[in-house]
Parts: sequence; structure tokens; C-alpha cells
Amino acid sequence: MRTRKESLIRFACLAPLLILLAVLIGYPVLDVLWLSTTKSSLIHPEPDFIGLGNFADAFTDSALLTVLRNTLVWTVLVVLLQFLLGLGSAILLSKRIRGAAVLRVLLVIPWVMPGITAGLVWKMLEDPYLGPVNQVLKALGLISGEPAWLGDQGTALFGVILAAVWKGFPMSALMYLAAYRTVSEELRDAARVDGARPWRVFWHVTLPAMAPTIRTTVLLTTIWTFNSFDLIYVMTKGGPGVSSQVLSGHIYRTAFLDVDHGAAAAYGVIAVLVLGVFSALYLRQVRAEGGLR
Amino acid sequence: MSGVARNTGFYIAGLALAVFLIGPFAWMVLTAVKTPDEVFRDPPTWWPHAPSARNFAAVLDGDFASSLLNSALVCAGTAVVCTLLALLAGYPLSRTRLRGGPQVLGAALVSQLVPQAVLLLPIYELARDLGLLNTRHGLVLAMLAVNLPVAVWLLRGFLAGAPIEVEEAAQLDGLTQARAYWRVTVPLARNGVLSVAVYVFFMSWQDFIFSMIFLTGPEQQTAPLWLLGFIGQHSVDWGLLMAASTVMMVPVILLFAVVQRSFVGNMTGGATKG
Repeated sequence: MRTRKESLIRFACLAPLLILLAVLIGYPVLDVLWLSTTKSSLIHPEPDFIGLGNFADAFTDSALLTVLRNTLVWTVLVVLLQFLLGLGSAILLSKRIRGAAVLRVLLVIPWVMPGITAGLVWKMLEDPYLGPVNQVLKALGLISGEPAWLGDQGTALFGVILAAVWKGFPMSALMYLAAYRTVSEELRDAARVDGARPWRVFWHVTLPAMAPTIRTTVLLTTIWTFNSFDLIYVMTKGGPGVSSQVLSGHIYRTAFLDVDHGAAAAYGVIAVLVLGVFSALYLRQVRAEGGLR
Repeated sequence: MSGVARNTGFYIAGLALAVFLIGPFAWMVLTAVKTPDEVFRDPPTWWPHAPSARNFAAVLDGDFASSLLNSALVCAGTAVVCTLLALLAGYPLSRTRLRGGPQVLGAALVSQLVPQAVLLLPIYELARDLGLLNTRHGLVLAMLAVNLPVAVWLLRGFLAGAPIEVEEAAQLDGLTQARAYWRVTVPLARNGVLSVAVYVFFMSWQDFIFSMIFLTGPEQQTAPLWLLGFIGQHSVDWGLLMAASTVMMVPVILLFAVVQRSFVGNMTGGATKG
């Protein structure tokens, strides 16, 4: 029997969460929607309504177009490489080889290293003179001279992508490892008895069974990668120029360094729309194929 | 392919993976114990010739120590408040059939689609108008925005693992459902509760984006802000920076070691259990 008092208790328990969601997420989203239709500046901080002017400006702004392209490259490459490296590591760790237990412990290192620390460490690793990356590449005969990976417009983005993959792929590996273990060994054995070669067993038995976990992990890493800019901020501040800047970092920069709140809000609306539309399409496709787990 | 060749392949891949995983961490620690002279040698040395702890001594003696304390206060505050609020919400959301419950959970999930960068400006202006800038509790409040929805979801997974029968038995003994939740279910799920607290602590431990806009004075500066202060200087004292980075990892490793088992189990379990 549900009494009045019980209903009251339930509501009171939920109230702090609802209030915080409303004030810290609901209100900001509405505020950003409003701000995106206004113009203001440091000297003239009172926002004036200008309709869709900020959006019109956004798509003729060459810096933003570069940032959008970078965001696409960053998200796709980081997610793809984390997926491949994560899946590869999971398969390797599931083998009965000596040292697998040690590897599982090592897998946690990038994960527990704070983003700020990881950014600094990778900045030093890729330093043209002080870091070991150039030393190793030189020893292998792959480069000559001292390329500054993070200081060059053509390579800066890939320099931070490398760090982001390192930091993030262990999470995927742990998810895939857990999923791999739920695929029953009998199923695999049955396929082997039928004469299937190892990679065919993997392709036709193991991978389909892991698919729901893979779909979830890819969606999560896509959202995280699209939204994050802490590593980029630490390693290059988005530079040189905007050559390694992504959308979320650009929003921060426009709002707090350029103090152009209207433009920053418009970029924010674009970011939410892009991610929202992507997630909706992804989930629809996934539902058609057999769901998440 | 023969079995031996396959096995050799696995070992080479395993070795490469190990080097990739541990290399950056090792470089950080090795640089931290090098002398400034050795850090700036070109070509760089791998192994420190004359290991010294003076970078660590310098780091723990200066402003970094007080910024660590600031970080600890802010993050412990965030972790405790966030976990308590998640536990409160966990009662109606996971132990009762609440009308609107799925919608609330859905809203918490969808909120994750909003980039932190988008929340920054409105939250900053709100905090400024309320006089919460440059205060620790203001920063704690802001960090709840990104952490509470995740904490609610994580905790829900742990609570679902606690058997409902025990709670029902406690109710037969005369406890109200809410009391049974607090006295029986929450203690049963204490490892999970602890994991959520550690997760939130860790997430706020590495935050510098909210801290950057909330804290402008040096008094409340958190550890990541101290580290960031070095970037952009003409000559970065890498030895000092790597020593500070190493120190920053110590609390995380200790806390993680405490909850490691249930933590990894839950983070990955949610994805593999139906």
C-alpha cells in the first residue's frame, strides 16, 4: 500500500537530482539557445537580439570550417583506433599466454592517469629535442632532422590524436575483454570441430556475439571524444592557428578568450545538434540490427 | 600457421602492447628523478645517470602542496555530495516503481550529449551572479552538473545487484521501505557506493576546465591549474612538472586499488549483462 507519506518521501529523494538537472543542464541549454540569437561584446555586454545572424556568420567563417573538419577527423580517428586497439588487446589478453595478467594491470595505467598529466607527458614525449619519440623514429631511420609534431600545422592534430588513443583505448579493451568472455567456449569449439579456421570462428561466431557491446562502446567513445578537448588544450591549445582545434575547444575559446558569447552559443547549438542527430541515427540503425547491451 | 609461430606472434604483440602502455608512465617517472641538466640534454637520455629526489622535494615544498590540498578538498566535497545525492535519487529510481522514473533516468542520460563546453558560459554567469566565483563550494556545485547524471546511472547498476528479498524481509520486520533501503540495501551495495564516490573523485581530480573559469585567484588554485601555469612559459621545467604529475597520480592509484575489483566489474559488467 502506497501512502501519502511514502509518495512524499520518494519525491523528496528525487528533488535534489531534478533541481540540479534543471538548473545546471536544463537552464544552460535554454540560455545558450537564447544567447545564440544575440550579439554582445566585452565593451557592450548587454546581448542584442540579431536572429540567426550568428549561424549565418558561422558557416562563412573559415576558422570554424577548419575546426569542424578537425572535429570530424579527431572523432573518427580516435574512435576507430580505440576500437581496433581495444579489440586487438582484448583478444590478446583472452589468450592463455604468460604475462596476460600483468598486461591486464598495465592496461589500467593510461586510464588512471589524469587527463592533464597525460597531456603534459605526451607533450614532452613528442617534443622535438627533449622527447624520445623523435629518437625512436630516427633510430628506425624513419625521419631525419627534428620535426616538431605538435608545432606543425600539418601534424599537430595527429600528435594529439595519438595521446587520446593511448589514454582512451584501455576502457574499450576492458569492455571487449568482458564481452569476449561471455561468448561460450562450446560455441567456438563447435565451429572448430566443423573445420572452421580461427579467423572464421572469430568472424562468424565471436564477433557477432560481441556486437551489442561493441555498438555501446563505440557510441560512448564517440560522445566522449566529440565533447572532450582537455588533452588538446594542454598539448597545443588548438594551435598552431586552429590546426588542432576541435568544436568544444573552439566554444570555450570563443566564449572566454574572444568574449563573443553569441558566436560561442551558436557553436554550442551546432555541437548539440550534430551529436544529437548522430546519436539518434546511430540508435535507430542499431535497433534495426539487434540492439545495445 | 604453426602453433609455435602463432604463440611467438602473440608474445611480440603482447610486448609491444606493454611498452606502449607503460612507456609514457615510465618516461614521466624517469624524467621526474633526472637533474635539470640531464632533462635538457640533446639527444635525451633514457635512464637517469644521477637519480635525485630534489624535484619531488621542490614540488612538495612549494605552492603545489597547497594546490593539492585545494584539489583534495574540492574533489572530496564533490565526491561526497554527489554520492549522497545519487543515493537519495537511487531509492525512488531503482527500488520503487515510480511513475516518471524512466523519464528521469532518460533525461539524465540525454544530458550527457550536451558538451561541457556548452554548459560553461551559462554556469559561469549563474555563479557570477550568485557570488560563487572563486569559492570552493561554487566549484563543487558546478562539477555536480557533469558528474551527478553519471553517478546516478552507475549507482543504479550497483543497487540492482543487491537482492530485493533482503529489503523485503526487513520490511516484514516492520521497517518502512525507505528505512529498509538505507539500513539494508545501501550497506549491502557499499562496494558499489564506494566505487561511485571514487569515480566522481577521479573525474573532478582531473578537471581543469571548470576550475579554470571558476578560480582566478592563486589561493584556491587546484593542482591541475598549477600544472597548467607552466604551459606557455618560455622554458618549461619538465623535471619539476613530471614530479608534480607523478605526485598527482598517487591518490588516484591508491583509491583505485581499494575499489578496483568491483569498479572494473561494474563498468564493464553493465555492458555485458543483459
